[in-house]
Amino acid sequence: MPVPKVELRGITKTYVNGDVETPVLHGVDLVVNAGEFVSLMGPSGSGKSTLMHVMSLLDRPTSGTYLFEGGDVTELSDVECAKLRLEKIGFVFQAFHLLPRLTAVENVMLPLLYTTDEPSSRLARAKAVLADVGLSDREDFLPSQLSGGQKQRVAIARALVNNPTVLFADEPTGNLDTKSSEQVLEILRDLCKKNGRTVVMVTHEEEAAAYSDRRIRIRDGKIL
Amino acid sequence: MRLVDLLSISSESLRRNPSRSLLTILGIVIGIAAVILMLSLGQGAQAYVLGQVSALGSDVMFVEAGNGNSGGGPPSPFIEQSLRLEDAAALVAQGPFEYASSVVITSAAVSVGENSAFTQIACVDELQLEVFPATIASGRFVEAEDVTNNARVAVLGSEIAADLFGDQDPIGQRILVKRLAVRVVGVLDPQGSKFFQNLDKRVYIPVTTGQRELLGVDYVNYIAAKATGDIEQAKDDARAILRDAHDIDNPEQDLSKDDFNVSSQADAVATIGAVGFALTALLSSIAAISLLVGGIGIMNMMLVSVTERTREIGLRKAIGATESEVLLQFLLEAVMLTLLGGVLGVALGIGGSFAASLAIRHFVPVWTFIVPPSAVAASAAVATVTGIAFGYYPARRAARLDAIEALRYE
Repeated sequence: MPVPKVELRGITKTYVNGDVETPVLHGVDLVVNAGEFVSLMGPSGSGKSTLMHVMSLLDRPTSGTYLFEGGDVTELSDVECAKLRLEKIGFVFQAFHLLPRLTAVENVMLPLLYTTDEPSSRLARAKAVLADVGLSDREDFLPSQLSGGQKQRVAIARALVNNPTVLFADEPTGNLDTKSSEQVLEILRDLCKKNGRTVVMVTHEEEAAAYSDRRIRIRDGKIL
Repeated sequence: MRLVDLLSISSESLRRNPSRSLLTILGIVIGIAAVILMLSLGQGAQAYVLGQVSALGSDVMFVEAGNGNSGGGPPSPFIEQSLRLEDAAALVAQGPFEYASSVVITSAAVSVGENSAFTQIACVDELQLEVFPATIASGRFVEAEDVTNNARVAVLGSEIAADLFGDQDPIGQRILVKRLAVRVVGVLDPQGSKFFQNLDKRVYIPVTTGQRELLGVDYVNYIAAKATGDIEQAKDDARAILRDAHDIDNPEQDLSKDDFNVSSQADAVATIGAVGFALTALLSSIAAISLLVGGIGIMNMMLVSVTERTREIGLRKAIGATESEVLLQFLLEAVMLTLLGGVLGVALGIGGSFAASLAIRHFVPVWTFIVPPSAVAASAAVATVTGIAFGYYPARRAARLDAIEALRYE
């Protein structure tokens, strides 16, 4: 039995604001295996974004245990979490979050700036992943010169440039038309099927979830 | 993260917003430029004053009448009439002095036929050239015999000679000093300005001639004496000799009881040094204020920048930038801003002080253009420290942003 990519045991998350405690996650148990493409679904306020933030090491659980690739990451320091995000995790956002003044290839290279890789190898790597998402001819375009679908593909290339094992996509098709959505979802599915990466996608669209291997439904902070 | 990447990230927003960056650092630029300008002019002034005072050798002591605190400045025509020719003789006879030269300074109209000029008359003895060495262009200087005989002779500075005689040879010609007719026996080479006096405009006559024939007085304005040993010891000896000669009972060495004042080049230099220090302290405090104001400008701009780039910061943190990497990015950005301000300020200050020195040279030809390297180094250091001090708070704010909230920021 291979080690799961992500294993959550009894994860809770409670936001404290002054005297007000807002429980968001109530004991989540979840396993995502290597090479899986899972979609995390639920209505707004269900806690799916919080769950994804915990899984992607952007946020810490209040209690419970989180095993990432079999290692306990619950107690890691901020710096160690940043290192894991840099090396093992890729992010794709609904709003793309491309830096507007950088070209496509420069945006893709952004995570590599926080490594000590050789500058020449970085550019080659960035061009290669940009080619993988079919945007070789858009390397020197600014985000404002790209369509929504192209922007999201640049963002996927950025998420892949560090060769992560897990990709977290937060409503990746939320801002895209149907055709662009299909392209993006196909790329995500291919990442699992052809490259063996693990993809966790937050979405509320059934059409998007249809591309995934498994739907995980969450409501009121619990997995259904 | 590589240092070059950090530098390139930090400089990126400056390159993107050149006009805003420039406006932001204007306070620093003006502050640093003002400091450089003031220090340059201050040093120039100090060099000028020291150059004038250094005309006296370090072993030459200066006795003025009156106990005044003129601190080795130019002899005033209003000082008391306490010094006599005999005092100079007593100093050489009783003290450790190689020579003592007496001088009476006055101003008078000097004329040759239609040509006349109002100029300084130095009534000197033959030792004057020992104190202020000068070379003789033609003829001779005042000699001991002239002093003994109240000789009606004059030696001209190069400028006054040219003013009165033009291309003619002045030697042997008669000139009128007030109504006293004297014969020109010598002309000096140009010597420039010493002790704030333009020596080339002077007319020299024997001290006795000046006292008896021209002014009708028996005092001298000052005595310059060259010590053979330690100058401080010589000054004490001179005081003792003069107190004795002037019948002053002053065993407690209270200088205010004396009717004379003894000083040396070292005293003048010390006074000038004290003035220079006060000036530097004043300028430093002005600089501190302008840099404080400039620094607040930088902090303001950095806070705006952090707010504008909240989502960028969120993204960088999400994809793996650590807090310290984000902190360094913004801190370095602030330091680059202030350093740029420092460089521009130094350039502006140097340019300004060069222009100022050109203007000053119209009035003071010997003025030198000095940019103290220490001021430039200090400016760079201060600019960097200002950047760190005022950039730290915005940078820390950026570094501590929560990635999730920052990414949601609209």
